[in-house]
Amino acid sequence: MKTDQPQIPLTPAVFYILLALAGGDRHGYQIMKQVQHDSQGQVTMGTGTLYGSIKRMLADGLIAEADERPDPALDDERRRYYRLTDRGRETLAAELQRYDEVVAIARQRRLLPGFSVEPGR
Amino acid sequence: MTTQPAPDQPRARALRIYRWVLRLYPAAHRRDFGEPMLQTFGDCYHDAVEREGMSEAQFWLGVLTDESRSLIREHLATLSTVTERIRSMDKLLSAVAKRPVSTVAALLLWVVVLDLLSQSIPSADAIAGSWLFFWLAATVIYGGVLLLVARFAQSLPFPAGESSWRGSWWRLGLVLGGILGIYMVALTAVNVLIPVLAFRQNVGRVLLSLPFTSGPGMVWAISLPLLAGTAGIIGAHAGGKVRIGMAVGALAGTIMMATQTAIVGLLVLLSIALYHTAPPPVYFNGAQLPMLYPAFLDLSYVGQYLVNGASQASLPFGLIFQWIFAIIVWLVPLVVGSVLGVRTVRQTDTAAVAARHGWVGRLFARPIRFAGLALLLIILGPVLWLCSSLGQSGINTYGNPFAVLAFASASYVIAGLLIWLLAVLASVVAISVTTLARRSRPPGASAAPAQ
Repeated sequence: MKTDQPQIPLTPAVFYILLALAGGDRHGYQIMKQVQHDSQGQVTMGTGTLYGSIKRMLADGLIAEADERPDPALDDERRRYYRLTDRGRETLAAELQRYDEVVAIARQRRLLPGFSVEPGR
Repeated sequence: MTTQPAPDQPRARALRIYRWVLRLYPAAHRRDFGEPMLQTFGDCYHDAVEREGMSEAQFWLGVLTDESRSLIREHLATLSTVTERIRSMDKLLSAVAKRPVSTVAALLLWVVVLDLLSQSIPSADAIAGSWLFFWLAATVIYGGVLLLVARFAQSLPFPAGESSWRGSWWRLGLVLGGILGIYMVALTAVNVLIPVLAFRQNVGRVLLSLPFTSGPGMVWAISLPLLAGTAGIIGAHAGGKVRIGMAVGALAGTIMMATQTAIVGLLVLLSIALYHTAPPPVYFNGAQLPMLYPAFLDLSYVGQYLVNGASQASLPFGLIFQWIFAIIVWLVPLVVGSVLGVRTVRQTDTAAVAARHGWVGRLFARPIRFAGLALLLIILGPVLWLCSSLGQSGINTYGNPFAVLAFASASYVIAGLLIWLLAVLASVVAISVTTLARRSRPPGASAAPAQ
């Protein structure tokens, strides 16, 4: 059920899918590869997990099917492309803001690796 | 990169296997995402196996791990949607929970009435003189219960034709089958335990004289059309299609029969064990014990009826006949119930009916809504009674079970056709009355207010 406020914190799958789509419209396999790249291989999702997440994100209004195809001439017509919605963009921004605040706290408490050797940074 | 390679390539085989995996997903999910999932899978296979040289075993291990998690998640998500809808039954359940005594009393009364009626069934020779009782009693009993069922079905929030219900006939069938299984267990427990308790505590020559001692067979047999009709109504009402009602009813009936067979098997094993450890007394306080074990544990009554009261019928024989009997008695009411289940959806706009037909419309609005159900009721009672009567009648079939089965089937079909004709006539009369009333309304008369 949609609500006005972004539902954060996000699950890793949802976060990385939003992050992948922030760079432009993508189809399922492109999302999968982008997630793997962005997470440096730490988040890998199979086809089932990917489309389960896509289904819920579509229902939550975070993403939508893209009307235009990036390059129709080179692509299979049956592919479905997905794009970020305004709500999805807000949610991603809110989540990144949350990460930023967490990192700021970690810096204050000198918890980040290598931070203690460069005090005052 | 293409997802439709030549059929002799390994990728084609992998796609074929994955297509089968996709079939395990809920229908709605498969419909919405099946094709893109297949394409994405093909891309994964191409990159991982064909380009990067990953072994097939390693690739499939990853796929199956992910798919098994995803399958469970999607089915749970679908079930939670169903659960939300079933919550509308909470009102009924809470009403029942608040009145446990009344509910138990009503159930017991239902069993006793059924059993008493079954004992009053006239023999085939005398049946010609008992038509009034034969028609009225059965119609009233089945009518009351099925009207309540249909009324309740109409109050459920899900409309006909919603896709998620269309794909979940087996879930509905499992739920109804579970309920029917519990019903079988309860029925057997009541019929087995009451005579035993009455004997043990000696409170009960009165109890022993109650109709429970005739066993659950007849109660079960008489309940069958009612249960079949109900399963059909619920299934078709939920799914919006007759074939969904049929599928739901068939699955539920199979589960019920399997439960019945399992109970009989367990009780027979129990009776054998008891008989070998403590042989039963035949007399108690000078009176012969009625139907105590092993006789009363032999629940193959229906089979025995069908083989002309042959109490010596073997248990497997009886069980086989129970299944045949159940299929015959289950099928027709299930079809009719499924048709009516769809009708209950389509005929909910009684306010419009009332507005079109004036005061007669208001009078007939509810009967019109239930007209199809009334048809079912009229068919069910007498037909079953006729079957039972033939079973009990002592018609000489020379012990030939197929002859008895043929008698029962023929009576079922013939009675059904006759009653159907009468119901059609009754419907014609009802429609004529409402049409006449509409014509007799003066032009320009305002429509009656909605109910």
